Amino acid sequence: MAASKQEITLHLAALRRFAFALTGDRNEADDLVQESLTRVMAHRMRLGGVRNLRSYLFRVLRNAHIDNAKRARRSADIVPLERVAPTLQSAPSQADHLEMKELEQALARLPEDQRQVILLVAYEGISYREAADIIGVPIGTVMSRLSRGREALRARLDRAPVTYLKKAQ
Amino acid sequence: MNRSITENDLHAYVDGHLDPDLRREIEAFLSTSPRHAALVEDYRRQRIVLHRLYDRIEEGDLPAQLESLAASADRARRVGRLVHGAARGGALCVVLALVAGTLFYSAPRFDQVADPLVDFRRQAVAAHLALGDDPLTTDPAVEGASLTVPELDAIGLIPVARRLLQTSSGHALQIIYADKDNVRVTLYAQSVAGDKRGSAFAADQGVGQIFWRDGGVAFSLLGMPDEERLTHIADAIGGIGSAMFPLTEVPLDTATSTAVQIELEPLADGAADEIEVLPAPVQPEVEPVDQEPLPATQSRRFKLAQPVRA
Repeated sequence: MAASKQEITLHLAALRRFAFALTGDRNEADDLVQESLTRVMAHRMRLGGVRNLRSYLFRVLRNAHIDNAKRARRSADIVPLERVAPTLQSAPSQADHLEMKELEQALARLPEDQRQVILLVAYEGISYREAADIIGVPIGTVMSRLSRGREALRARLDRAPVTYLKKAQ
Repeated sequence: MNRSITENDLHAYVDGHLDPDLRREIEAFLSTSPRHAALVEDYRRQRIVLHRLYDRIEEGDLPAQLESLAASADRARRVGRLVHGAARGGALCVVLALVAGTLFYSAPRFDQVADPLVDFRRQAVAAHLALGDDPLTTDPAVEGASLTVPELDAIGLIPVARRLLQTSSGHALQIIYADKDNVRVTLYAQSVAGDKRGSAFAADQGVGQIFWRDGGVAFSLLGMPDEERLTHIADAIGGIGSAMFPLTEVPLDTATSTAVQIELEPLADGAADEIEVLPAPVQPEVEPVDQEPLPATQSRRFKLAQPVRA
């Protein structure tokens, strides 16, 4: 019961991560989360009827980001690793640091729709169906974006190509 | 399983969305296909590095305004649930039924005034302020409905009085609670036109007010100008509702003798505005069901499908 009274607060961390993934900047991410929560409060009468709160909050945040991007007429920037590194609790090893930097740059170069799916599915652990609900696309689109996104990351991380058939067997 | 393994199966395997049987099948397949095993391993590695990259983002200082906004949104959601969820059950349904049943025919419709909900909220504040801190007195002439009120004693609030008010929008029901320090909280309700739902918090003239409407009834909980405290009380009202069963209107001839019955009579002339001080503790009225039908236009009867409390 106590947890249910703080549901939105409990989703704050995930919202900030998603916002960071979308904006590439911690300050912008927090501004985006703040704008999203303001939108939620502006429509507070809907809150009581929201069944999947996480999906609702992610959708609001994503829509706010789209609106901001339209206003700014630009897409999200590459995330400089230096902005992330200070937040790490322990310093990564040189190899880890290199791998993180490679993945970070590869992520930043992904089309935003693929990056969103990667973040929602591979990082947040959200189901394909819920990710489809958040993004507002069919589940098949989520799967294709996930597949293309993962393969693009592999390619940019210089992994050997794998013959990848629709039917793996 | 005899079907072919697909690309989507491999993603679902990496993301942990497979049932045990299919997972075992995928593992068997990967043991025979080093290329696909390497692919899966790369995807897993991506997940690991993603976590290294983003895991600590929330470890930084959480901006106070975000925390505050999220807390406000949580309170708004809890209040909203009173309308969408628990409000359908138990205590609130009793109040709803009382108000809808007794006041519907006599109350002018809210859509006849310019901004009826603003009027409602102002009237609720005025009614609360009018009580002041003076001792409540009763008038034996009050012969209104047999009312059952939501019990809030679990959070230290005891119902001390109730009254029916004549307002510019018709009759309103007011239930007054007090804590051990005699700090009073008012639950105010009135029938409204339309079936919209919604909720809001406002503070006015030193009085905090959580307002919500559920279909044909508007509610207002008034008291201290402290949204957190009022929300806690509103939550308790919802909690009572969730412990009870939906109120159903039943034909009198099918009612059973164990039903909790609430019988409402039309207001007698002059009964409005008089305070009925409640004896403590207040118990729901349990009466044998009267088999004699009453004129539908003069009274309505409801019963709880199950007893109110175990």
